[in-house]
Amino acid sequence: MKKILKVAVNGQFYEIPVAPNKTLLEFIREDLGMTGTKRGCDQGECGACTVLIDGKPVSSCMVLALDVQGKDIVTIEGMEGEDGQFHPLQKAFIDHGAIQCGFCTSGMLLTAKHLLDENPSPTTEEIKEAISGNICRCTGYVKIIDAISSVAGEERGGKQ
Amino acid sequence: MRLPEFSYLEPKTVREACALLRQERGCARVLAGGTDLIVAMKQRRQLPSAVINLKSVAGLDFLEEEQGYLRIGALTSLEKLAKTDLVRQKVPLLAQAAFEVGSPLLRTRGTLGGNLCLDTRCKYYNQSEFWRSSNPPCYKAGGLRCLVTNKEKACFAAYSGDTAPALIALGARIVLSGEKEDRVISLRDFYTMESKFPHILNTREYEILSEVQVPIPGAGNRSVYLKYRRRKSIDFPEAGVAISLDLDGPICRTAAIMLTGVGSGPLPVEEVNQIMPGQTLDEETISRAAEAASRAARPVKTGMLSPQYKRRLVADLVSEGLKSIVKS
Repeated sequence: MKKILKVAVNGQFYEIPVAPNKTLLEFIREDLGMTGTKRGCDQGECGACTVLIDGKPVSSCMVLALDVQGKDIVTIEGMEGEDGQFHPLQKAFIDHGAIQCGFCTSGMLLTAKHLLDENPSPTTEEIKEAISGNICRCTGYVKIIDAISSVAGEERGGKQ
Repeated sequence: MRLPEFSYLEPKTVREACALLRQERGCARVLAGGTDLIVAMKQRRQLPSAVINLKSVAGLDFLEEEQGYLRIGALTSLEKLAKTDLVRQKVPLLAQAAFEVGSPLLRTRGTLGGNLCLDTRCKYYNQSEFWRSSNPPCYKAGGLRCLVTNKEKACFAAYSGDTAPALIALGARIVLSGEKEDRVISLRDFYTMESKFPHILNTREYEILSEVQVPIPGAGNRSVYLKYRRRKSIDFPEAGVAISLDLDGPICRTAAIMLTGVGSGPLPVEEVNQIMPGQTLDEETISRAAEAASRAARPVKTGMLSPQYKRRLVADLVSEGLKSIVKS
């Protein structure tokens, strides 16, 4: 039996009837039509489906949609600024060539955003630890780490 | 993979949750973080009539120190255990074991109660329904025989929790809440050592693990949790060891070593109670303890590694762990 889900996604409020067996990932992709959040392994291993729930990165394939009642969700679609400008991390990923096939990118960006929100100047080790649940099958980790540290560097005052 | 259909229940109290478990006659499953259950349901290993979401119950996410114990609500996330100063300072072994679970994404969602109730794992069982359909069902999946050993009515799926060995080494106890009352048991007694139903809530269906109580170790306590896994960032342990020693200067007074990933439950290395007390941590004591751990392991080829390899691995982990304690 469907239940009403009240949730904020990227700052917009939704009230939508949802079946209990729908995951948050399916809700975002199918009910909201936001396909930036990717379905990878669908069992919590790869991190492609990462979204932020109340600011914390979570694999959305492992969460029931009804389990985020009243929560605040941010997907990759909500990462750019209100003026439509890319988030500094998005820009850095483009500038550093940190996007290959692009399938892990949404998750990587959201995880990186959470890292920098909590810790504006992480060490390389801290960056590696933070993105350890987001798997890049193209194995382009070096450029991803470079991109994240460049933004962290800017926030430290322009130095890398 | 779509989830199967189920009814979704949100009790407000633990007692109500237990009443719902009774109503569903053992066919319901309790949802905490969901990192184990949701995958099991997607793979059709679990087909519950109802899912009872414990997160609707208030007051199961807490951390407090009381009369020499650290009390931890069952819904406390593994991330919180790994990062909170209170845990890191008072019970570093638990913080370390919690940090070793899965990836940051899984730790944010996964809970301590859920990690303690983790199901056992096997290469023939933890697979999609489609994959499993090419074999007859194994004993754990409702069939007649174990597909690893070909034995009838036997299951050897490996217990692979990280926090239980650490907590048992520290002598933790748990609160099981029922419909009418709570009871406190030692965490060690929670595990059945049978792979098909690894803990007592698998067979006593109407209780819920609501709290964990860890005695805060004294000043002479030294501990370490070491884990070997295929991918450093996310996997379950192929083998893990939790070591907790009470030292009096260089002399070991009491020792507890627990193993995971190499048996049907968290396995104690009983022999260290004879080997270690009264000894200094010299090379001979360390190698005797490592050999004892290797003998205590009960590995079966439920994963990629051979049992012989896992026994060696356990000995090496214990040896490495004890040496790290000597160094610190």
